[in-house]
Amino acid sequence: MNYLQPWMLWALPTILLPIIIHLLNRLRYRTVHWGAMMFLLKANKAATRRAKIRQYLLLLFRALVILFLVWAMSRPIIGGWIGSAAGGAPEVVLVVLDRSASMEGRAPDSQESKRQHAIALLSQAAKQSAGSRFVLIENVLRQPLEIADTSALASMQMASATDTAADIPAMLRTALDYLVKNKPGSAEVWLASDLQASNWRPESPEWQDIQARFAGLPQETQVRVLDLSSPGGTNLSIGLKAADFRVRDAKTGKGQLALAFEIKTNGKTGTFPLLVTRDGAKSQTDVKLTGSAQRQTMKFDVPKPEAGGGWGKLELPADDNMADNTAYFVHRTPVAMHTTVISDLPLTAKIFRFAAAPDPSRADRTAETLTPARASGTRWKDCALVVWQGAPPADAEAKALDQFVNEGGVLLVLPPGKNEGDSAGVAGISWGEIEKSGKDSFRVTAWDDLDGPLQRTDAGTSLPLARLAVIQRQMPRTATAAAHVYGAYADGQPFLTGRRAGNGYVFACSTLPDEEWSGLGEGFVLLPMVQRLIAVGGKHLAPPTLAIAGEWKPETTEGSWAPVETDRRSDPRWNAGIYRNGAQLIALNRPDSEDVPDLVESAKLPELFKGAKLTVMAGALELKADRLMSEIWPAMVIATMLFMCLEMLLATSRAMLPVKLKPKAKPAAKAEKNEEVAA
Amino acid sequence: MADAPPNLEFLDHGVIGRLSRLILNVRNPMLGSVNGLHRSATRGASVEFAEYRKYAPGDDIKFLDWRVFARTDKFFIREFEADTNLRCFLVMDTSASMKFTSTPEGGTRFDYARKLAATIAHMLVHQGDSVGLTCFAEKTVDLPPRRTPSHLRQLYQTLGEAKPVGESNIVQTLHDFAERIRQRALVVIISDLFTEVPPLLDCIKHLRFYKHDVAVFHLLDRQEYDFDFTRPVRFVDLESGADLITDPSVVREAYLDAVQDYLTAIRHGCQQFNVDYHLTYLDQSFEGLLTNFLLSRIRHSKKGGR
Repeated sequence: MNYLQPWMLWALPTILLPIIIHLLNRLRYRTVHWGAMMFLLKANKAATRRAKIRQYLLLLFRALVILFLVWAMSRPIIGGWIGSAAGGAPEVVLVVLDRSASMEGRAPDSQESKRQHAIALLSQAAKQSAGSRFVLIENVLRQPLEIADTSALASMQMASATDTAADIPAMLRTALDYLVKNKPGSAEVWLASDLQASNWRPESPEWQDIQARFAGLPQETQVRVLDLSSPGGTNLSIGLKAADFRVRDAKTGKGQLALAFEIKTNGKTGTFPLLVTRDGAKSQTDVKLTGSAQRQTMKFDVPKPEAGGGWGKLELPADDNMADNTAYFVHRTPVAMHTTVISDLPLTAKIFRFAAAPDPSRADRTAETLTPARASGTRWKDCALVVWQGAPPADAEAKALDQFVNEGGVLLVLPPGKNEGDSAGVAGISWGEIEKSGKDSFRVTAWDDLDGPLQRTDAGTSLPLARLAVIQRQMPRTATAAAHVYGAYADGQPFLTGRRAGNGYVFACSTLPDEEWSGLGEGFVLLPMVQRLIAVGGKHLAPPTLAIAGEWKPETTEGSWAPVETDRRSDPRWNAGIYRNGAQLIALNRPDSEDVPDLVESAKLPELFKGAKLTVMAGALELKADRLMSEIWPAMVIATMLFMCLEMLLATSRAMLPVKLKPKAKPAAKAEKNEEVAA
Repeated sequence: MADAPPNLEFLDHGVIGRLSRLILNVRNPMLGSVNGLHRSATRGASVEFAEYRKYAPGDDIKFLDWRVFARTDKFFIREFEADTNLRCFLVMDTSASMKFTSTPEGGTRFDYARKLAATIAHMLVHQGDSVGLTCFAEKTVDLPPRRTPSHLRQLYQTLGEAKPVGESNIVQTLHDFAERIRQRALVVIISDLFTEVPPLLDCIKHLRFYKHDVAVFHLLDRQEYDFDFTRPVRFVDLESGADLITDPSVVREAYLDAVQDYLTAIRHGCQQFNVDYHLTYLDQSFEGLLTNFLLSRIRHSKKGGR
């Protein structure tokens, strides 16, 4: 329970007033020399327990009257979340609002989304903290934004629905930055979130930093968490995994669109209608759901898309969370990803060519092989990947290659295959001596399977690097030391390193695919590795068609991105949808992490906010906005009046009659006396 | 001792004067030594015919009624009432509790008792009866009954010197007294009777057993009866000095009950033993009380056949 006028509570000791008056009365006794002591002793012994109980009850009622009166005057509020017990309104309230896609979910019997509900609760709470400045920090821009009128929060664009993910630790860091920078005298952080684990990342080491920073704040900062987590009603979500367009007929440009999507459900299975929109035309198919998550690929024969590409969306029927029922896609005739392999080892060149363009019938992967001597004059900027093995290029060529990398291309450098001493090779990489393994070949035992060319496959299986046998190796010595090791041998020497250079990357592999060097030529590692390098390097050839809302930033500042569908509110900064800028199209979708229903356990919150004073309002979703902090003084006043009535009843009852009223017995005594006289 | 002028402030001559036309009567026959106003238990030589009775050998033949003998030829003795004098004992409580008064200007219980005793003594001596005085508290002061005016003076002096101090020992005093005074007498007890009722009634029974005419003036202050205190009071016992702080509003009901029980018990006891009981409040007029007392006795004795 909190109080709007907590200073009134200082008046609470006045409930002792009746007791003090009673004691004073007792102290102010008169001394009477008394003859009829025998009756008095008898009376005192019999001391009418009932009268004593009444006296005590009277005292109690009087104390209660004052107690409830003081209590009512301190204006208590129930709700327990907002309103501080000690110091009144804080100077600054940082409203940290999670408006990620999952916040669009609804409580099972509500029409409001969690975000709307949170805003209603927050603006209601803000009314009680009228003296404070309110600063909004939301999850997309994470810019502290001062709000003049908290009641306008519901209509503010910065608090509207998004299809983004939220990074709660980052938002808290922003809040802390604000507090450190602005140094308010007293501050509170009001954090409204649905406690989605993917947003909170409770295992992240960032939390230790946040705890330390909260503990280090000069002012004591109260963190109030509005816990909007819900068990979740029946909800289906759809997420697009890939939209691949493959040209089937090179003449007409007709092709096949393969949409890989995943439908997740929390319990409900059965057949659901799936509404497919392609370039504005709608069709409906049924999807049969058997498990909690189901991956599916739908294929459509489509005509040649326009220059910018075709677009569409997949829609599930309405359910408890409207935000995760749509997946957008843009498909486009794939741009040919050209790979140039430069090597003076024919076998190496051939193997890389096959790895780069395994299917000659597909136009989207092409490869050519050149010897270093003939490399000059190649149009580097049309390439996605350049594989270089052998002698370094001439200066002019090297500059062109650097420019290619800086513009976003990927350069994979292979060992020269002979001892070259310390002379610098391609991209400033010099090579060590050739090492030959003994009986046991070199083994790659550690590699980065989360990121980079050796990461797991989409299906989650690791690349079989452990099976890779390396007989000979030659270690790159990178001129710039800041190279990331993507794979390493058992003895700690790098297998594959890479570093960023401008917009592109330079990778160096320490072995060759030739048989006498390693088993790379078998392809089970090489093929995915090269394809991934091509995918990275191909980004600069064609702008992306799919991106994640909130993470995507327009690459060019030219023109403006406008939604293709105008029937819903769309902001390319945070709303999913199809956006067009000139001929360019992009489909923004919510991050997959938003569809994961895992929650942070509320028992874990105090641990996360170890350095701060934490109040958690659990079950906020069921709480009506007007109940958030209902004042209960009317009940107190009624209680006061009730006790007053009781006190009055008791005080005027016969046993407590004022002593001055003459008892009835006296006239009778007189009458008796008269009788005596008469006798 | 006799020459010192006695302190007579407790004598109200106005009242004495007004009451002088009345006499103090006894309700049952007395056995006096001299002729007096009062009916004797024996037959005597008054002019008042009492009864006839058969002659028995040894009777003085001068009392034979010859006329009856002439008519009936039987010997009858004519008997007359004897008039005798009265011995009265004024038993006055001088314990410390007699000091009490709720209205200081109205005088204490002791003043009232002394006035009562003095007036009754004066009346008795003036109608020729002997009067004695017993003032009891812890110690007892005794004055044997005499009927001389000088004795009255001595009695006044004793009253004047009496002080209400010490604890009352009324039960023991009355028992001793009853044993000491064997001869029929009028015993006037003036006290607040603050003691347990059953032992007190035993004393009265004892007195009545010796055929004393017992009159009781039970002196109570109005405040002791009403207990009209509003604020907490520290009550200090006049006799023992023990004190008790209490809130009268709490104990009042029980107090009034206790007083009522006590008064009812005393009244019933006195009725049972035919005691002339007068519950007297200190604010009652002293003259009116005495007038009532005297008149009721006169009425009683008339009914009794005088």
